[in-house]
Amino acid sequence: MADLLTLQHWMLAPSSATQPVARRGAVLLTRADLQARAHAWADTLRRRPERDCAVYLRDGFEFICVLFGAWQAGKTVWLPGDMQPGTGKKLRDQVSLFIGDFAEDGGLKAPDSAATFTGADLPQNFPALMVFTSGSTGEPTAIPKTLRQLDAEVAAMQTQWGALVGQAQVIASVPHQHFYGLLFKILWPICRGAVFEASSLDYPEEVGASLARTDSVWIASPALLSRLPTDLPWSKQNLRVVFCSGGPLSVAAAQQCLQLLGQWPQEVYGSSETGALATRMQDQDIAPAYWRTLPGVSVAREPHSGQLEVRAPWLPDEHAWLMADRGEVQADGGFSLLGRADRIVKVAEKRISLDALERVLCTLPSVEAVRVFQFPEGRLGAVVILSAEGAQFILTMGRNALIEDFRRVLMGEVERVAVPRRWRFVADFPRNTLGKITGAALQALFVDQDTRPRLPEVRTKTQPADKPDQVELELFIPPDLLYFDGHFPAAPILPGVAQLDWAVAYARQFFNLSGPFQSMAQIKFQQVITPAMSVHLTLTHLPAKSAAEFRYFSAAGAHSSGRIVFGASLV
Amino acid sequence: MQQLETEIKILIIEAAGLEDVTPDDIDAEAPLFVEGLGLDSIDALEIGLALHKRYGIKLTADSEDSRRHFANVRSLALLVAAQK
Repeated sequence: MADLLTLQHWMLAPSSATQPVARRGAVLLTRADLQARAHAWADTLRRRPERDCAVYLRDGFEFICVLFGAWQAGKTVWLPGDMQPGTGKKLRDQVSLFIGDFAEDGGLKAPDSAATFTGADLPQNFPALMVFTSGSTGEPTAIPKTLRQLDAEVAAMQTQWGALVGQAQVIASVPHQHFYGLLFKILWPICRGAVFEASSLDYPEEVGASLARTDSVWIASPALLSRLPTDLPWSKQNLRVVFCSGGPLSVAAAQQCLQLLGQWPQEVYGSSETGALATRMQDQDIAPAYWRTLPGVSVAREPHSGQLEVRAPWLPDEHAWLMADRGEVQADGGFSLLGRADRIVKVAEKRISLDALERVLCTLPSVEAVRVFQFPEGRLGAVVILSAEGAQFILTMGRNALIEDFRRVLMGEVERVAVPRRWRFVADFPRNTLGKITGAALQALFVDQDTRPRLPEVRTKTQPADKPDQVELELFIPPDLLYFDGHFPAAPILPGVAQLDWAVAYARQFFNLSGPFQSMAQIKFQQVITPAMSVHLTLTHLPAKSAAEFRYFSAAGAHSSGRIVFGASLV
Repeated sequence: MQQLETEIKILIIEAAGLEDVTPDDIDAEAPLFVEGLGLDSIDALEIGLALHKRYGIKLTADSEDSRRHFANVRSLALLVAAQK
C-alpha cells in the first residue's frame, strides 16, 4: 500500500508528476495537472486582499485545485452546501470573494494568472475550511476546520478502512460541498493516492456503468441505496466497498444492497461538526446492528439528556462534544441511536429544522399558526391554521394557489427537500386526550380513512369490431359507493356529476384524449341510477372534434347521455 | 406522443406523491426540477425508478445525458419513445 500523505505534504512535496489523481470520464488527470492548476489559482488568489473565499464547484477536480490554491494563498475556504438564494445572501455577510458556479455574477470562474505560486509551510492550526451543517434551514452553523483536524481524520479513516479500499478508484453519488463527500470522495483518496471520478454519479445507472469498467469504491447515501432498481446489471465483483452516510439506512435497504450489490454497505455515523465517528454493517445477529467507533474515538451517554457525547483526535479540542442524537452505549463500547433530541429531521441527508420551517411560514400574513412534521417515509407535511387573510385568499384564489405561494416563499429560504410535500388546513390542531398536539394526531389528518369505493366495478368491456371508435362497459354500481353518501338520505341516487366524472375518466383511458376538459353539451339525465344497479356505458370517440359521447343505459332504458369536449393537448 | 406525455405526467405525480397536482397542471415543457414543479433529488431517483419499472428505461452512463432527459415531461417522453 502507498504511504498516506498529509495535505500539507501533498501540496508542497515534489512528486511523480504523471501519477493520476482524478478522472473525468475517460480522461485521466495527473498530479502535474493538479499542481499546475492549483499554483495558478494560488497566484491569482494571493493578489486578493480578502482572507476568506467561498467555493461552490460541481466538478471535483477543479474543486480540489481551488482548495489547494486557496490554502497556498493563505485563504480560508467556505463551503456552502447548496446554492439557494438564501444561502448566498447569508454567506455574503461574511465572505466577499466567490469562486465557482455561483448563480449571481461576480464568481471567479478561472485563475487569471499564468504565473504559479507555491505557498510556504502552513501551520497545523491553519483555518483551512468553514463547512456548514448539511442543508439546515434557518440558522446554518459554520464550522471551522483546521488542517490538523482534516489530516487527523483522514489518518483514522485510513487505519479503519485502508486495507479494504486499497487503491481502487473512487466514485461518488454525494456532493463534495458537504463534509462527508469532501472527506470520502476527495481528501482521503488524494492522500492515499487513489483516483477519484470528478463528476458526481447521481443515478444508479451511471454508477452501474462505471462499475462495469473498473474496480471501484462507491460513496453513496441512504436516499440512493434505498432506491436501487432491482434489475440493473451490477458488476458486483468490481465493487470494492460501498460507503453510506448522511442518515440511517433501513435494515431492509441494507439487505437489498446485500442481494443486489453482493455486500453490506459500510455505514458511517458522524456529522459535519465531528466528521466520521463510527461505522457498522448489518451483518450482525442484532438488527439494527450496533455502531463501532473509529480508532481514537470514545463515546459515552450524557446521563441527563440521554444524548451521546464523543471525543476524537480531530475535534477542535480534547473536550467531549455533545451530539444531537440520543443513544445507548453497550459495555463493549458499541452503541445504538435513539433519535434526535431536538426538532431536527433529515430529509435526503439534509438536516432540516422543523422550528425554522415553522418560523418562516409564520411570518406570512396568511398564516396564523403552523405545525410541520415528518412522515415515516421521510417527506414533510404541514398543518396550517389560516389567518383571516389566508382564509379569504383560499376562498378567492383556491387551495393550490395558496400552497404555491407558500412553496415559492420556502424555496427562496430552504432546500427543496425541506418544502412540505403535503398540506392540510384546519380550524384548530388535533389534540390527544391530554390536550397535546402529537405527531400521530397530525399525521392522521393526512390519512384518507374513507375506504368506500369511488368507482363502479367494470364487469365487461367490449369493443365492437366494426366500430373501432366505440367502447362499451358493463358497470356494477356498488351499494356502498362514496357518492351515495348524503345524495340523498333515505333515497340514494348516483349524482350526475359522478356519472360525468366516470365518463371523462374512461374516455381518457380508452381514447387519445389528453387535453384538459373543456366543455360539455347535450347533457340529459333521464332516469336515476340507484345502488346495486347494473348499467351499460357506451363511449364513442369523435377524434375530429376532440370529443367523446357517452350514454348510460340498462334494461330499464336510457339513464343519461351527453358529449364531452376536450381541449387541444399542450403539444 | 400526447398520450405518452399524459402517462408520464401521471407517473411523475404518483412517484413524487404530488397530491395537489393533476396532469392538466403540468406543462410538458416546464422544468421539472428547481423551477416549474420544483421537484428535488429524491423525486429524481423515484421517477427514475418508476420509469425503469414501467418502461424498462435505462439511463446512460453519461450524467449530462441524464440531466437532459430529466429536463421536462417532453424530454422524458422522447426518451421513453426512443427506448420502446
